[in-house]
Formats: sequence, structure tokens, C-alpha cells
Amino acid sequence: MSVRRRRRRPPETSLALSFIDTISGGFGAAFFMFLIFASLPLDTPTASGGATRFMEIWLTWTSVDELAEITLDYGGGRKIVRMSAENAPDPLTGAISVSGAPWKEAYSNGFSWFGERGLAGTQTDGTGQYGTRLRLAAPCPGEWRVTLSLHSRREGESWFTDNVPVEVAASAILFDGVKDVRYFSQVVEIVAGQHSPIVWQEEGAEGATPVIGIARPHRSESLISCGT
Amino acid sequence: MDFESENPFFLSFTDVLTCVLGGSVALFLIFVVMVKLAPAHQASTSATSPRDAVAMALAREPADARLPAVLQIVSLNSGDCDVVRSIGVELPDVELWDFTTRTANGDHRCGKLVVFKAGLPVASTVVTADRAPGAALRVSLSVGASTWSPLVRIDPVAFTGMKGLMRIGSRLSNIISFATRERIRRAFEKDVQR
Repeated sequence: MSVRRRRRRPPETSLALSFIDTISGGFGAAFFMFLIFASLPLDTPTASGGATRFMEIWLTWTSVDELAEITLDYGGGRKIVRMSAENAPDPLTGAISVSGAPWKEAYSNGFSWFGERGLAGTQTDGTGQYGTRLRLAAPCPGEWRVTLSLHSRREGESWFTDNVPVEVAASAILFDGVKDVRYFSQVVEIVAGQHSPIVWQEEGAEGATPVIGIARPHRSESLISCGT
Repeated sequence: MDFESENPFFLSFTDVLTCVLGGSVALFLIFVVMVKLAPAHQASTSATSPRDAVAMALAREPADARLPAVLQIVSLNSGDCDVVRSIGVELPDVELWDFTTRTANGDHRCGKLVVFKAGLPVASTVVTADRAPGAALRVSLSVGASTWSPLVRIDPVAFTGMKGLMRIGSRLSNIISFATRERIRRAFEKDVQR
């Protein structure tokens, strides 16, 4: 009499999963998670790293013989002078590339190391006006000071004549991503070779201030280039 | 239960849940932490194009008070200086500035700066010039913190049809349309449809 040995199987339940099921489920979950996190707008990247904040500074004057320069001082320690070959703007776009600068992008017109002669415009009364501008995209939070320097484009003859004071006006606009603030300065009388820190008056506010204060951004924005 | 015959590869439902949860946490850390850190190092080479960034900046501006936008046009050929000098925009609250840039080797390029002091116009507006330039133009539009700088070759026939170099406005779907052959083709297709 043969004895049939019956192989006993482990009891199966409807919830038991095989190893292959688990691997397959894991891959499915991973792909699902990838789709979710890859498509979420976690950090909106733009040309300026997701920022809409900017600061634009203008200097305007009326003498064709002079050229005004903007010098920036950030946080009381970093001075950024535009009159250097390293900071020369791209002649086609005006983009300035400054190593380790406390902003993400900068654009400038009317002044460069290679002899630009200022922006030339016309005032409402028809007389000539000259200017230079600097636009900073996503400037770092902190205190910014602006110094005006005047250079003479007259060459030989200026050695024999007294420098004539030139009236230079400064204005700035600061947009913090939500609201904009406009700044103006009193007209500064300055002669070539001099430097003059700009004292700002905020539009709609009383008092004057030597600094433009930039607060931390409202939106989530990377400030790694600012060292924070 | 017969323990000897139990398959060691079988997992319980709890094991599977634990495994999936662990995988989710790991993926969360990878895609949230690493993806967020990556753009900070290469802000200007991010996935969003500069053109889209300009549109995004325009969309984020206060609707009641547009901020100054700057359009800069520079010719790649100094022979087009008279064309660049003639550029104009028939709008109030627009400042026009002429400038000459210098390259490191002494060449000069003529440019025009158009400052839209009250932001880009609501209605599409033509940027005019006396004639079509012979060489390409580098056009840079700055809105908010974003700047888009395409290189454009103006087509003389399209220039005549448009009566200018380009049209500019604050419509997000088409902020600038240049007088190029592409535009001629679109206009032609519209004429055919009529």
C-alpha cells in the first residue's frame, strides 16, 4: 500500500503578497512619487532665480562734457565700483558680471570702462539731458549706499580751466515683490573728480536717509548668493 | 501553520506598507531637498526660459501700478546707427535715450533705450524706425528682475507691413512680436482665411 505524501502548502490569505508583488509595488510607488514631486512648483525657477525684486538707480545731468558714475556700497563693507575693466558691461545687452556680487543679475547703460559717453536724451523743454542707469535683479537684503562720482570727458583743455560744477540728480526705484518705493535726491552740485554720497528722500515719507534698506523677500527665494 | 514550508520571500501586508512608507520618505527627501537646492547654484540657467520669466514678472506686477520696464535695442553693425537713432514709440510716459557702447577692441555699437515709465502699454504699440536695419539687432527687455535678450533679424517686407521693428504690449501671450518672416507668414495665412 502506497502512502501518498501530501505536501502541505502554507495557508494563503487574500492579503499575502509575493516578493515580486512588493518589488513591483515599490517601483509603482516610486514612479508615482516622482511624477508628484517633479511636477509640483516647489521652487519657481526664472532667469533671476524666481525673484521679481529689483532696484534701479538713475543719475541724470545736463552737461555733455561730464560723465557721472554710480558706486555701490553694500552692507557697509563691500564697495562695487563700475569703473574697472572687470565690471565692464556686455556692449550688446548691458549685462554686468561681477564676481560674488550681492545680486543675481545686473544691467547698466551709459557708463563703462571702455569710454561710453552716457545716455543722451532730450528734456521736455528740448534741451539735452544725459544719464546713466543701473538695474539690479534680486539685490541682497541689507543696507545699500550709493555714491556719485563725476568724471570729465574734456581732455587737454580741462587742465587749464577751472572745473565747472555740474548739477546731478539721482532717483531710484525699489520693488520688493509686492510694492514699489521711489527715492529721489536733492540735486547735487559736483565738480569732476569729486565723490558725493547720495542722500535719499523716500517718496511720501519725511526725512532723508543715506541708505536704501532692502528687507528680506516676501516670497520663498534662494539667498545663497547673499551668503545667507 | 507549518513553519518549515513557509516561503522566506513572502512578506506580510505590514511589511509592504512599511517598505512603501520608507520609500516615500526617501523620495520626498531626494526630490524636495535636492531639487530645491539645485537651482540656487545655477540661477541663470534654470529650466524656465528668459522669455517666460519676463511674462511671469509681468504677471506678478501690481495690476494698478505697473513698474518701469526697459527695452534696449543695439545694432550689431555700426552702419545701422541712423536706424537705431530713429527708433521711436508714440506713447506718453516713455523716455528715449541714445547711447553708444564700446567693445573691448574699440568697436562701437549704437543703441536705443526705451523706458516705459508706467510699464508696458496695455494696447500693443509699434516701435517705429525710419527703415529696416541691415544687420541683426540685440533686443533686451527688462521687466521686474527678469531680462530677455533675443537676437532678431528684421525682415524689410515685414517691417513695411508692420510699419515698425516690433510691436510691444503687456498681453502675456505675446509681449513682443518682431517684424520677421514668421510674422509675414502668419499675416498671409490670416489673409487667406479671410
